[in-house]
Amino acid sequence: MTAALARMVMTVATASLGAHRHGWKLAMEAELEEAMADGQGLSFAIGCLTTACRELPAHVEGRLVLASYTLVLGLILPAAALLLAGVLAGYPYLDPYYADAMGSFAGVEMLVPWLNAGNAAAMPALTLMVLLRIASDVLVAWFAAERNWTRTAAAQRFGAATTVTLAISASLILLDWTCVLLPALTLVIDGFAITVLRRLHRAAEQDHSAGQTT
Amino acid sequence: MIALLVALFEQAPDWTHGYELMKVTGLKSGSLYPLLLRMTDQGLVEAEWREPTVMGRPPRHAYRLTAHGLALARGSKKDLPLSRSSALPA
Repeated sequence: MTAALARMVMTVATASLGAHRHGWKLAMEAELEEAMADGQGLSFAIGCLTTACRELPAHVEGRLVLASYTLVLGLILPAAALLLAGVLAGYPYLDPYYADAMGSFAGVEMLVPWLNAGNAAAMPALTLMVLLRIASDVLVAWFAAERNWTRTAAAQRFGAATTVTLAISASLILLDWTCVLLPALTLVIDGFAITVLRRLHRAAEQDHSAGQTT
Repeated sequence: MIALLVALFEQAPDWTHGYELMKVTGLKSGSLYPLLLRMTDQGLVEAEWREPTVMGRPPRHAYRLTAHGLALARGSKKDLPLSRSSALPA
């Protein structure tokens, strides 16, 4: 079990080293056999993984990997998580925060409830649209991490389509389209993150074709 | 890095494998390999492949100081013994 885990860790470590460190990958793998014979395989493999992580910023491919996962895990997925947390809390059916202010301005004690018997039947459909929007964010994150830009763009188009549909539906059903602000914000976040990633990827490809590896 | 320099100097001109260096210096692989990478990139250490001593194992990397590395090692620790200096590479 420990040997299998050590080999798994070493596989991750050697995969993280750049192509210019191919010789060192083989060297570490060879020394792993010695370390395992000595009963120190796992600690040796973990040390090699630490080495590979420290080497990541030193080469173009490593910097691209770091940027990809930082943007995917730091921006795109948290945006999707924010939407999901909202759905679990009752979004998009919550009263907007400005309801009291609107009531005071209109001189009425109580606004017409956002959700009533007339539009309650639309709840599942609106929730489904928000869930599809969340799914599109997850797909964008997945395809961006794989650098499959064609599929990333398709997932983004799907997310934009669900956001527009949600805006139109909410305007008709809830008479308030502001519930689409959050999905629209996550769409902007996705677009920004993917634009940055594609630029970095293009720069890395240009550096690689120019023969630079660091 | 000093511990690694001293360990390689004491082994010079013989070649030493990575795992042996770990045992001699007390450094973990996460500390040793970044040092070896840097020192090789800077021309202080040279590496070559050695056939395995045990059947079924892959060839292993072996390391030793270059002339530049030897000069640095001598400068870093002036009281290093020079008894093997006649056998050291130029």
